Amino acid sequence: MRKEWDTYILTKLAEVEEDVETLRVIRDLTPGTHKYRGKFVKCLISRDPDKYPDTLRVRLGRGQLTNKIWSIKITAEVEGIPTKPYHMSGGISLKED
Amino acid sequence: MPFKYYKDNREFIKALEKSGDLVTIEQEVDWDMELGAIVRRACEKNSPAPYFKKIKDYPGWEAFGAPMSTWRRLNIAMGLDPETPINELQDEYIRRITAPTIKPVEVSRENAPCKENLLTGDDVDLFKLVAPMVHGGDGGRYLCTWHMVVGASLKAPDNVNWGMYRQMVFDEKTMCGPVLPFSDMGKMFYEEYAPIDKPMPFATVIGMDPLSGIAACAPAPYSEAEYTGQLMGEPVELVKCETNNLLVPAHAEVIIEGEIIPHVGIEEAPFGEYTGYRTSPRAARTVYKVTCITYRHNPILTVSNMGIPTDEGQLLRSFSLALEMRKLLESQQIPISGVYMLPESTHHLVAVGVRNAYPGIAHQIGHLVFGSKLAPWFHMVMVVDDKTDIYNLNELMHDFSTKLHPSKGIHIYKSHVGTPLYPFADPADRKYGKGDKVLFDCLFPLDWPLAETPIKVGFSNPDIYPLEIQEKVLSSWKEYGFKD
Repeated sequence: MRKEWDTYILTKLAEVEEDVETLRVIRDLTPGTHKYRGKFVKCLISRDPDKYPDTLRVRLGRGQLTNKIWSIKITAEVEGIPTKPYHMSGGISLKED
Repeated sequence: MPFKYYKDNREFIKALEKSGDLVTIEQEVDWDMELGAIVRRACEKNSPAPYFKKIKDYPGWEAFGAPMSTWRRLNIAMGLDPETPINELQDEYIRRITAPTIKPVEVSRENAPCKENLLTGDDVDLFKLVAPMVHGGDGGRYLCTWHMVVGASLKAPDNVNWGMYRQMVFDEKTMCGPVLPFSDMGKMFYEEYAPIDKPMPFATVIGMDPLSGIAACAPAPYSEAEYTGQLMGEPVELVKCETNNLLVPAHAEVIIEGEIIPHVGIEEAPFGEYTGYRTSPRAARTVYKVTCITYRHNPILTVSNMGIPTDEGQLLRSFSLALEMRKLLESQQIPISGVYMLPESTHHLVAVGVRNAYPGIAHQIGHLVFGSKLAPWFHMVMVVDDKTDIYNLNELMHDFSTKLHPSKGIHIYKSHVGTPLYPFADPADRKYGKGDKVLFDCLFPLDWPLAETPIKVGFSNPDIYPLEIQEKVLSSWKEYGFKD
């Protein structure tokens, strides 16, 4: 069952790296009491809506919903609040670690 | 001697129902935007406050929207006639808050309805509370839009602050939201707790009585609990939290306790803000870790929906900021006739009526109010003479359009304190909270010869119509055939 998530991107969309593991905040869009719950995850994302197992919707900094559907693969859930400042406009590229 | 007031939100709801200022919605509404949309439309139409009895996914929970977004509801909260004019409401308010302060009283938990239900440890789950998605596109579910956050100074624990700092649910035990460094709680957190890496205890209070809400919204120069006592005319009843030493209003609907965590941030916003825009971007903001939740049976969430005017944030903030300015100007013996901050301006524009007693008086007013601690919240001051009705938008617009010299009457104050929420600010100013200010001097210069000074042409100006003519017209008005 494909789950649906969304994320906020503050940089230009063209600058978002695909297929690179990043740390970012996503929100769970599953209907019910926990809809919009936030989560820190390590993930891969793609503009190809079918590339990864879950659907990702993309919003810009003031909440504007973009019209293209992306896809996402969560590689790890991150417990707690990451102490290293993460880059909210596009996620932290973990390859730099 | 206590004034007429409502000890909790439930009594206030009943009063609004009785006066026709409440609509009870029995049909189920969705917390995911539908509830918010109803509150928003009610604000834009100045409709009665919506009271939601049945909310999807949350049996047993109710919600009360736009609790104080009209002057009528503010009058009712103050125990006054709903039609009390704004200047009389101001006078009554000033009368109460200039009386001696009244310390709160602590009551036992048995006498505190907010303790009827308790969630601690693993049971703490913010998603058990009906946090609405207030506006489409918001960065999350805003549980706290009409509420107050209680915090205390580390160095002086008796220095307790109540303030409204929006809070978004992140996960089961985490909320986040902006705490600006110049705010009262911001000063405590960033200057006292954060430098020594110490979490700051907090308690979020949802659904407090209306006068506590007014006090939390006001730029009170001392304890808001004592300020509330002044508004009530007797002590406000507080009860101790379960997991820290803070005291909270005993008759509130929901209390969320926890700690504010230094040196971390979680993405928060965007959010529909009091300016009527989503201005501030999603960014890392202050983190609240929740340790305990208490709430009344059948709790009632209070919901403010900020956006284009008028909501209670705009109305109450305008009201209380104007009163603080009035106190400031009167303390300096400026011969003002009144101060009115227009809620429609999202408390950005304040009109000051003054007797044009000496040259430069408008500048003096500008310097005083822009130099005060109130300054970050507004950027426009309009000074008019004492014959202008500052509560009448038509008269203000007339003065603005006719008495304001387009170059000599407009004065800019550069590099002042602003907020990141100014929609007009450029990104750099927004980032650093900077903002210019402007003074609109709508007074005719005193050095103009009397014979060359224009005379306002209006019915009530005795230079145009002598008093006997005015009185004759007024007493015969209906006889002429007018119905108004």
